[in-house]
Amino acid sequence: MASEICETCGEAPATIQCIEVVAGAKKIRMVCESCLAEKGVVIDPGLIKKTASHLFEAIPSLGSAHLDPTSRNETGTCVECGLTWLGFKQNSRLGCAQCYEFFASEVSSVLDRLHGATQHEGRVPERARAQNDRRRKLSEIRAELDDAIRSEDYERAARLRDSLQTLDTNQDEDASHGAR
Amino acid sequence: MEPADFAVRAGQWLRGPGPDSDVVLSTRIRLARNVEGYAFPNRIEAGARSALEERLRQWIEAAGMGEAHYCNLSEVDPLMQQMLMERHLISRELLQGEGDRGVTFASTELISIMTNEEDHVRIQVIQAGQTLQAALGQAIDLDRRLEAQIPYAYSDTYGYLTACPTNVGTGLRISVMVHLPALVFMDQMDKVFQAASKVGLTVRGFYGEGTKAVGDVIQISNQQTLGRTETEILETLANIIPKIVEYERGVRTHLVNEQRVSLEDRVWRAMGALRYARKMASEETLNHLSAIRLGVNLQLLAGLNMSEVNELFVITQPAHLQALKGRELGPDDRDVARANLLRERFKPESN
Ligand SMILES: [Zn+2]
Ligand SMILES: [Zn+2]
Repeated sequence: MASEICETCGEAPATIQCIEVVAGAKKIRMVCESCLAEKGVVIDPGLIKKTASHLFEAIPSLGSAHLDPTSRNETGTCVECGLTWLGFKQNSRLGCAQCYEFFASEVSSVLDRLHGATQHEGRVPERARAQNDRRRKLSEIRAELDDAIRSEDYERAARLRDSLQTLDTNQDEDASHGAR
Repeated sequence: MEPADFAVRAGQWLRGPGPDSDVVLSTRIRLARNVEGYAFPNRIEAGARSALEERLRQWIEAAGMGEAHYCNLSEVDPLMQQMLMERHLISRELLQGEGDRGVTFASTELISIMTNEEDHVRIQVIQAGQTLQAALGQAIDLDRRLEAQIPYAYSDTYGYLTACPTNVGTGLRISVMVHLPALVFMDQMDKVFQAASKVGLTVRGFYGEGTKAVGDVIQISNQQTLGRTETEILETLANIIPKIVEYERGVRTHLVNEQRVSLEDRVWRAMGALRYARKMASEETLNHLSAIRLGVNLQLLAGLNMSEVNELFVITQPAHLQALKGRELGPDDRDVARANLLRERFKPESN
């Protein structure tokens, strides 16, 4: 075991078995600690061979979008509904909407196998569309604002800041409306 | 709504004529949806489930389905549950489920919404014949009205979130039920299976288990729900269904021209059994009705009404027979009751 060499750098001893998701395909790799931290590959805690506590501590620091440190706890149980991945494998049903985020890397490989795709195309609910529109608008205005500040056009910058504020206010109103 | 109201007639989707109905029995659209903030039905707590069931009922009522009925399955007797399933208004999963779960269906039986089945909301539109565009349009129209009431669980990445990953994305399953007696007769079904699976569609026997097509009825549906738009999914079916319809029609014509006696023999043997048998099992009935449907379509049989033949596919099933008789029947008694009903419907004077 100790003789295994990291598949990524080919130098350091490989101490961690990890799952990497590349273009929807799941690959199991043996890597060293520093490559793991650098590449930000997705870790499945159940598949880590060495269970030394310092390795677990390293996990939340990974910058991977697939790993949300606030929702994944050490036993791999969805914080919202209590489903484990084993539970999913047993009856092929996810327990709640959050499971999709929580088990994102596992889900994404299942979806790729089932549908040959991991990204939704097609209809969008009106509420989500409105939110997306606003998000796009906000980032457009922010970009313009940066531009205005850079070119020292403070009058334009002030106008843009006002419209940012207006959009934010609408957002709050919508949020309270949605919680009715 | 009482079982007896249902016993003698099938839903409009099976009675009504529809485009290409010589081959296509029905087009069914299903949309799977869940409600934000509630665990999916397989992990929801009983209290939350009851509260959600009631809330969904109100949301659906507010969305408007015209004249409609609501049943909470936990309050409905087993016979009525079975009838709802035989009429395709609910799934086996809903029937076999536990706790508060329900169905709201339009009086026409062309639209139904199951609540707390595998997902919180299952919208179903079912129409006679090949009506892909119209049926999908109607389902989406209803979905929009529901969406104005219900905060759906949705993610930009995965689309509409469902309990089973096989349904995620559009949540759309389109199923076309086709009657292919000539292709079965000429042993050509492999070609249909191959053509469909090549474009990612699944083919299943509609009645009975597995791929064996009892009654020569098969169901063709899309497998993928994620990564394709509703229109793309529809087009996959819209491309292949007309080809299957033409293929079946071609073989029917061939049979009439080249093997007329064999064909007539099959049709009239079925008629003989339906007119004179004293006990008739369910599977045997479906196979005979298939031959009769073919005979009517090819004008080998006169004086029979296609929609009356079609509805026998539903009203000869166990719960319908028991509702007709007004009491519970064991398997043997059902076979007798079924034979009686069929003898009455096919008696020579009525031709
Ligand atoms: Zn390394
Ligand atoms: Zn969950």
